[in-house]
Amino acid sequence: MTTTLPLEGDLNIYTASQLRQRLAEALAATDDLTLDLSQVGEFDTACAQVLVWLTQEAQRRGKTVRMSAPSPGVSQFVALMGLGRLLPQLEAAHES
Amino acid sequence: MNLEQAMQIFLQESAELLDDMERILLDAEADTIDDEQLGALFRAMHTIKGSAGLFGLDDMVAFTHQAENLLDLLRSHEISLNDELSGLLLRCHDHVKAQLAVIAGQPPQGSENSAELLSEIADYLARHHAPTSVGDTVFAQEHEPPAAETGEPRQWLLSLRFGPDMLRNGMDPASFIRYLATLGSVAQIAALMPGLPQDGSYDPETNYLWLEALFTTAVDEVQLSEVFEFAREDSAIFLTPADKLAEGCDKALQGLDDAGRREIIAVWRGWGLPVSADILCDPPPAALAATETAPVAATQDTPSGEPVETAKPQAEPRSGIAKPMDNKFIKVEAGKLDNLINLIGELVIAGAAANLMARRSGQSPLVESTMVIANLIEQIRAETLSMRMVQIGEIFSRFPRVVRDVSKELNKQIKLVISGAETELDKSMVEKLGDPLMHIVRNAIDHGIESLETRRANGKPDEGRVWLNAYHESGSVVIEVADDGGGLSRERILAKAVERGVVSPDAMLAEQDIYRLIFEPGFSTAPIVTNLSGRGVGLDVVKKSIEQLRGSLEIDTEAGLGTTFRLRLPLTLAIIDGFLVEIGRSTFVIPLETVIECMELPAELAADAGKNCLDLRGEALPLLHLRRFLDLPGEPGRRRNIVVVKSGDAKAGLVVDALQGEFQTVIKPLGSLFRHLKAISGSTILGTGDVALILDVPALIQHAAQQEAEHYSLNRELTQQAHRASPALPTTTQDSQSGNLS
Repeated sequence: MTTTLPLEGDLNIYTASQLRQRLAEALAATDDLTLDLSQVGEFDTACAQVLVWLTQEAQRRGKTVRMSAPSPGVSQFVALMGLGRLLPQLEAAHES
Repeated sequence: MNLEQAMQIFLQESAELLDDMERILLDAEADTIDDEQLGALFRAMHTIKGSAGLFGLDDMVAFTHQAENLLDLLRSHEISLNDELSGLLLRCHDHVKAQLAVIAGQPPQGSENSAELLSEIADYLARHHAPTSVGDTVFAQEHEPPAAETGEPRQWLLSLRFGPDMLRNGMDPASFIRYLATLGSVAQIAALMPGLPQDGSYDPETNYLWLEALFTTAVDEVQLSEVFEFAREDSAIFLTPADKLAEGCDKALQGLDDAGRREIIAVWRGWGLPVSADILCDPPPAALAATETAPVAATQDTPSGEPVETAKPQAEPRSGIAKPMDNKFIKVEAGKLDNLINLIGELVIAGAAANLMARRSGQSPLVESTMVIANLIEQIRAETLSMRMVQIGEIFSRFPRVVRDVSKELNKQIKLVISGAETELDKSMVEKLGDPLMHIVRNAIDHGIESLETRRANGKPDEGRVWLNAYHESGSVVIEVADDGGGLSRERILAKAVERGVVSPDAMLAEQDIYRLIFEPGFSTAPIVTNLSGRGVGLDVVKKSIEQLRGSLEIDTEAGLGTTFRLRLPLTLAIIDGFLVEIGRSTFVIPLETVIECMELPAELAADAGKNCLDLRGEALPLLHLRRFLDLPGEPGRRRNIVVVKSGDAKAGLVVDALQGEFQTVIKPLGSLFRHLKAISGSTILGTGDVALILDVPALIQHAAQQEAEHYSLNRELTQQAHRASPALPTTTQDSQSGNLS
């Protein structure tokens, strides 16, 4: 079962707990989760961590997580902080 | 990161630093300054500069940079502090403060021009410091970003192990990287999260992010490490020059667990850093030149994991990271505390209601448990109120500056002596006290302390003194502002009052009442003791604001020796311990802290309604029959009681019908309709839901004393007038039905 979850608005320290909750629930409900990041505004370390956590959590459970169409805010942050190793999908998307 | 919030923290911290700076500069004027203080001065400017940089406030960085240079020379004793320099530094302080105020969104004040001040700093240095080193360090780059420091560009390996509380403290590692980008160029950067939990213990608000970066910059090590000043507390930051990788890498890897080490080494290898198989860095500096091209081939050859595991025994967790935050203070929004106190106020009322119900039900276990709850509520109340208590030093601390400025302006030498700064009172009071106190202090300097000539003529020391003192006294806080000036002149005040029509020429006034006249509006701009043309100090405004705080003002003065203004204020505005009394069917609250004792009304006094005085152990105690005074209906009961109350030094006996005991009272302000009532200061809600009025004891005592004085002056007419003028009672209590607590 494939699910696409659009993320919208500012993802920052204030929404990190909420985001984690939401993603945990989404991951539990599907084997193949796609995050649409095209509508994300602000993006910070806290939420980058949530995405890294999600990636690792999916691996542990043998599930697939895809991240598609990162917004400029997300791409820039990934490039700035050298997050490519931890979130390869976002880096690739950025370079292409 | 939420920039807005970080900005607030920046503004607040800067304000604290500036306050420190001001305090040190003012202290230092009197005494010699020690190295620690010089260091603190330097750090103030330095830290503000650093954080201003994080926010991209270039103007402020440029300015504080120069001020910092000045303080650096001071710190290294290349120049020394004197009056002129501390004046200059105070102006720098003012300027930064004004800049901060503008950033905080306040309208720009007529502050000094930053360029002018900068050229003054330069000028000062040119005159007082060997010009050789000054020229280039201080005003070479007036408005350039700090990146333009001299020095050859150099490559650094930055290992930034940010602490777990970073995000919660409102900082985002990204802000450091953004700031770094203004100082040089980031060639490589990699984020690592070796500490990210593999189980459910992941906390989205904890920081797990570490960064490794290769960074090229011209700034020196000190400036580079300043960038991370704010992270230093709970983070481990390693800055390794590229040519000293050997020692640096080793240090940067110490104390990490295997997984972390392996990950970091993999990153370094990925960048082509010469990381040898036995972990300790191989130091051929030449290898670094190849960094940008990042040869990857070599990394696969050695199994990077193994050597790591054997390299070092498990070190203890890094002290920098694992260190618990042993902060002693938590900053809490004032609004939250206010809400809490409101809720506790309601809890007190609800608790009293429950207690009453329990007692009516007659079930003793229930009564007992409500008593326990009542006791706990009482403790919570006391603790919560004490959270709002702040030391009065917070307002006192701004006075040295005021005194310094005003005395310079008026050309008087004045020493300010502060004591009791640790006295605590409610935060809301502290805020409202600032202005009235300022008025009084200015007044003391302006009108109190005489001119130098007069002082010399009267054989006083040249230096005038102003004292600020605070202490607790029977449930209130007393603040004294004293001066050793000329004192108030009774005759002149009286003459002025008559001239202005405030009192009639034949009025007989007590000493205190005469002095109190200076708080009348008509006196606001009058030079009372001296003829110095001071600014108009509206003492009437002072009186009004003190009265709004339910406080009182006294004046002690002695001609030629000085004047003391004494402010007496309640500790808090929200809740008081009350003493319930009953008159007819109405219940009243007397603030418990004013009650000294209770006694039965002696039979002979009860019979003689005309006699208003009681012999209390040899002391004449004026009595006030509340039933008559408040014009309550009904006949006095057979047995009545006297509550002896005190305010300041004055005492009086309030005659009431019955005593009901103590009661925690949440003060509810009276509507504006009842504002003019002198005898009532507020209202509260009893456990029964009835409204009880809180008696204004100082006003009642004043009235009792006055009535007593009139009685003895045999001026019956006046007495009757006073009675007619006694306040009518608001209808609420008269309407209250049933439910006497007794």
